[in-house]
Amino acid sequence: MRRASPNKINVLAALILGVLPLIFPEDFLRVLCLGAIYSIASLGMSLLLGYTGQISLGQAAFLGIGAYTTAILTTRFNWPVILAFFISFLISSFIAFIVGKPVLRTKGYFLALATLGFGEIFYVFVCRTDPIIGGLFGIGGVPYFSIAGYEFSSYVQIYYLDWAILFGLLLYSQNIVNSRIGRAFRAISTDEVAASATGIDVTRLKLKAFVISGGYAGIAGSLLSTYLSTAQPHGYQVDLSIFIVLAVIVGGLGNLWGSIVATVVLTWLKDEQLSRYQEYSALIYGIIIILALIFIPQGIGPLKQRYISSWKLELLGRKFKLIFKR
Amino acid sequence: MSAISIVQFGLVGLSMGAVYALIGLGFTTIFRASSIVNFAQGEFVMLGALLTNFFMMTCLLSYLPSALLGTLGVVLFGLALQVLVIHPIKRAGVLIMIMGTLGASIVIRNISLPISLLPKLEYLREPFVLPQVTTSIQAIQLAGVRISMQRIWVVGVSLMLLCLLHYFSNFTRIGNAMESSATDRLAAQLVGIQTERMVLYSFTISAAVGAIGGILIAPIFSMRYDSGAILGLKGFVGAVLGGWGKISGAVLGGFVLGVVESFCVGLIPGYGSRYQQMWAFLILIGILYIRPQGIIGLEEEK
Amino acid sequence: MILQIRDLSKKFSGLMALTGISFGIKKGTITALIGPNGAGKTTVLQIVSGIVRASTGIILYREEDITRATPHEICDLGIARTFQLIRLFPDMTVLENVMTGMHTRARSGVLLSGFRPPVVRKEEKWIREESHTILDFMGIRDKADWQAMTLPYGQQRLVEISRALASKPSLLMLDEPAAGMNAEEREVLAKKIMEIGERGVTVLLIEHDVGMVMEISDWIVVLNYGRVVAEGTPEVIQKDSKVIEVYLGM
Repeated sequence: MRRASPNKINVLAALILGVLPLIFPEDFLRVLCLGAIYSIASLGMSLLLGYTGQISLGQAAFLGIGAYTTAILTTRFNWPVILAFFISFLISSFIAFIVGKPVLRTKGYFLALATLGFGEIFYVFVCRTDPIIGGLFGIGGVPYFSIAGYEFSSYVQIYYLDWAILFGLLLYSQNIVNSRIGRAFRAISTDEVAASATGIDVTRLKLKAFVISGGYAGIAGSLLSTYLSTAQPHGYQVDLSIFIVLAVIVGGLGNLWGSIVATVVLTWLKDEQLSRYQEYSALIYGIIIILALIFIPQGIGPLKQRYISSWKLELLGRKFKLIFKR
Repeated sequence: MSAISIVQFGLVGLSMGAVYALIGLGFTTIFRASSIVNFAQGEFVMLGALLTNFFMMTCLLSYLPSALLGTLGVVLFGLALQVLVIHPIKRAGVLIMIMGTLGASIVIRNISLPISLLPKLEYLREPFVLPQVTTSIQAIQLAGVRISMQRIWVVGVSLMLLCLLHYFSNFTRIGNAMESSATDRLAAQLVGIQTERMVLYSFTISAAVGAIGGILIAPIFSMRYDSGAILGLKGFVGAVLGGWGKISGAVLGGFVLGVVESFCVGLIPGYGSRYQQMWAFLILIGILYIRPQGIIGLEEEK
Repeated sequence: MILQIRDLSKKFSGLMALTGISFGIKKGTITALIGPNGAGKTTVLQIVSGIVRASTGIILYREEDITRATPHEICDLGIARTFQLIRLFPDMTVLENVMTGMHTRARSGVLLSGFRPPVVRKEEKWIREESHTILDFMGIRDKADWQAMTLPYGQQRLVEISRALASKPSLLMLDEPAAGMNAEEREVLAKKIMEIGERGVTVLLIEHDVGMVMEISDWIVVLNYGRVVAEGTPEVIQKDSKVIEVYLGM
């Protein structure tokens, strides 16, 4: 799973991304802001799905929990945004813990169903609860993100904020992946029984992965509510959960950068391109999903491909050695 | 909370439960034949009602022919789903299958939207109700309890379908072949049963049964192009609740879910009705906590 | 006795796989569990390692009751195992497989690992070095960076054993380790098992290779149709009429 060199890619990407706002107009940055926010959620999902192999289709609910918590704390209780942000992270992590305990006893189709069910519970709850939560209209007037008086209100500022947070979480995730925990996650995803016999507390670690992904989604949701200035039910439905899982699959299971790239591309596709086609957009989206799954089920940074190609490289290398020996 | 209202809610729950049972049956039938869960099952329900509506509104056919053609149309959709989506991605695993059927569900759900742009077809976008099976009698009164005729039809037709399927599975050659291939795929293949064909039959049955369920409840609840998704999920919940992997489990679970959901909606003061779409899923999470194998499911060997 | 099995029975919906199995394993020995296919040998292992639950009976490890323990708890206590059909982690390299084996010995948690402070880095380094040492011991250090599944079958087995050794077990259970190996590989394996024994690890060996069993075991337990048929040193077992009957009657 060792990438070519994560640090090289990180530095290169950081340089490119850091320079982009100086070249491109604000409009272009819009997609990148949104893309970065959703990528945070995809990153968490990548750890849960790509590395630990757990299929969760309830990510939208955790984004929603983060968004609503921030919205409520800032508008109803006038808390500073930065504080609301941290609390949103904690609450979404906590709820992920509570939901994860019963739900992670299931696997595969049933885990998907249970997480879909939780997503529905959240959606129905926020749609139908008026006091504080605002029902179908949601909560408006969420202030911009600000730290100690510095407000992130322009697209450029929000761009740097979102990508900085995304980068921080990416580095954190890369560290986890390259650690004992990362190996444990991967073991669980491929062979739970063997993992257990090797001393890995599968139940506990699955829960940890679930909580992490819930926490990341909460952060994303919180940023989303400050970006959109609202927290509304219709942004946090099943469709979003499917979108995030799709991004992780297309980006390549087990590929953190892949999920980010895929998320940004899919965000651009969905919000920029498809919204032009109104009646057709959802239909086209569905067809794209199916085609993507048929033709690239292993994503743009395929896991299995890598191990085959590195083996081929090994053989190639030995052939070269033989040639040079002469 | 009088005795009458409890019975009332129970009966309403039974009719909803009948539909959940049919949907759960659809899930289970396909799973037993092919080991996959078809997350687009709920769309069959919606489509049955939608197509019937189409045949009545645009082709101006009467109720029964429309319902028959509608059911047939859904069966064709079901077979197309298996051939175009499910079969190509079968080898890629559970995750891809879930995403694929969800994608298919999105496609089926949204097909009517661009079509509704055509002249005289705008109604496809709107919620609709179908006519009842019998319009002469609206409801009957039994010991102070009012039972709507359509609901009786729902339960009656569902039970009839279940009996038919039971007979089919156990007493006909094809039915036996399907059962065998569900119990032990390899063994079935070894005795010459074409399991791939069994999968197609399972899709036919699931689609037909789902469609009929949709046609039956469309008069009671208005349907729209996006009504299918939630119904499908609830049917799945019912099948898990009853005991996954068994037809009897799906049916039992469907009915139980319908009744319990109805009680939640009717008898929880203040919140029951407002959060009605939520109870089924809370029940799901509850059953996972208490008894994950379902009511009549077998406990998993460690 | 490092492991004591008392009156162990297992019923699999209608089939009595094990009936009243009782035997003990002395610390520091290589004990073999032999018997025809279907005798229940792997079932015993599955139950001891916590993957399958016993119907009746008690398993005592160092006087502690582990009958109801989960697989990972059992590994924590010092019992490691390999599987009849090799179960390496397919998407990892040989080294990563062994490093995963060290999971119980390391402490870095999720929270800390994300920040990768010096404490974590040091531990990672230690895990890596230990793993290399184990691979060295098993003679496959040069294959460390190979994808585990691309190794020849015999060497995959050595990787699996390395992974089991990584948790520093006091009891190592091997389920038909020689299956699928050629004569040369078996010799290497036999030698390795003895070396493992010499380092103080108690070994429970399920094996069909009677020659190997006779050569390296200190004690043999013979199973047939889910019951213990005979127990003793290799010399005793070789002459036991019941055992001969069991094998000839196959």
